[in-house]
Amino acid sequence: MGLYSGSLTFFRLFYDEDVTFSLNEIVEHLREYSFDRFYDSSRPINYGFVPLNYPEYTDFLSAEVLFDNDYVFSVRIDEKKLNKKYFDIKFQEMKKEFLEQNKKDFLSKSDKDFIKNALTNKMFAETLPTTSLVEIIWETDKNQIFVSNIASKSFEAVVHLFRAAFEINLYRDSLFESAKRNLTEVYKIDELKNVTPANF
Amino acid sequence: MALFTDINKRDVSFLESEFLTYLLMRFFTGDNSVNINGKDFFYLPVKNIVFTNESTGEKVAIETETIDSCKELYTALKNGKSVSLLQLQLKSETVLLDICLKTAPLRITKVSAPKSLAEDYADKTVERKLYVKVVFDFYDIVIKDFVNIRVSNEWFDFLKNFKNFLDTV
Repeated sequence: MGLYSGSLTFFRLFYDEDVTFSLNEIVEHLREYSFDRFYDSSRPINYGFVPLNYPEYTDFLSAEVLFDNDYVFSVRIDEKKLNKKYFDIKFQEMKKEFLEQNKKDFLSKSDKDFIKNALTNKMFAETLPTTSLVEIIWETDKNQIFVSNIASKSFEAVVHLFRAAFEINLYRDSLFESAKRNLTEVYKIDELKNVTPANF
Repeated sequence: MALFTDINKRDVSFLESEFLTYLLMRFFTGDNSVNINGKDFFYLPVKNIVFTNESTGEKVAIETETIDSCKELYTALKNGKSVSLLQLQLKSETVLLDICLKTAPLRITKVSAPKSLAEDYADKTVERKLYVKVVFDFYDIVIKDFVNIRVSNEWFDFLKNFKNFLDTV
């Protein structure tokens, strides 16, 4: 699914910042916020930019980014989820071990927090992630990007990465936004806000 | 999701379903051609249409292979229901794209494109990216058309013409 094959469903996001980047600058920012650079196996969620034809190409220096005047790449999102029941069982076991090893009769709040953190980090490091790739088409001359997934986690990751890497604040497309960007007569937008339902 | 104005927080989400209904009306009144970047396209509603009664929330889903002669569709329109899901085919001489539009919020929820003939990865990407842009260019053009007519007196003539058409079917 996406640009290479299958369904071609994309969603549009806009931004208002008047920014221009050269190809080199874009590649540099993509590298700086690339998935591999920030990956930490103990974190519940990891995301970052990857080339479009990932994992065939993992490095932006060798991968193609510019396709016919538009920048095309992906965002890889790895999310790990812990099973609560399993966590609770392991937590009880670790608390017991901790009491025995430290010859204690009870656990203080800081003891419990310490055990909980240690267990959380251990389990996140051992758990396999669910991976998704969100494809991005960036039309810089129209201040818009197209994304292949707009579910909340993907949307948040893409918005965060663009803000961090390019200082761009993305927001969702809407009937009003599309109209605003394509109409030269601004008064029509104000008039549209005041129309009454047609009652067909 | 309600669509609010930023001035007085008035809910104008009804415009989304009015827009999809407008597209359907345009088709029935024979005005379904769109020029996209100098190329002639036309759109055809196909298969699935969902009508929603704005006041009661009642939904009617219609699935048909023959839009032109579907009585249920005309009945829904005659009963003043507005469209909340519209499946379209966008066609030119060489391209056929399947699109699904939905309200709340208004968005394109499905696009299917013809199988690419390109073998090279980059060529395939460029070709399919072009289809995405054609779909959104179409979307922008018809939204612009809708807003232009919706805020003018032509809107009432448009509705009257469509009612006249409905009287004939």
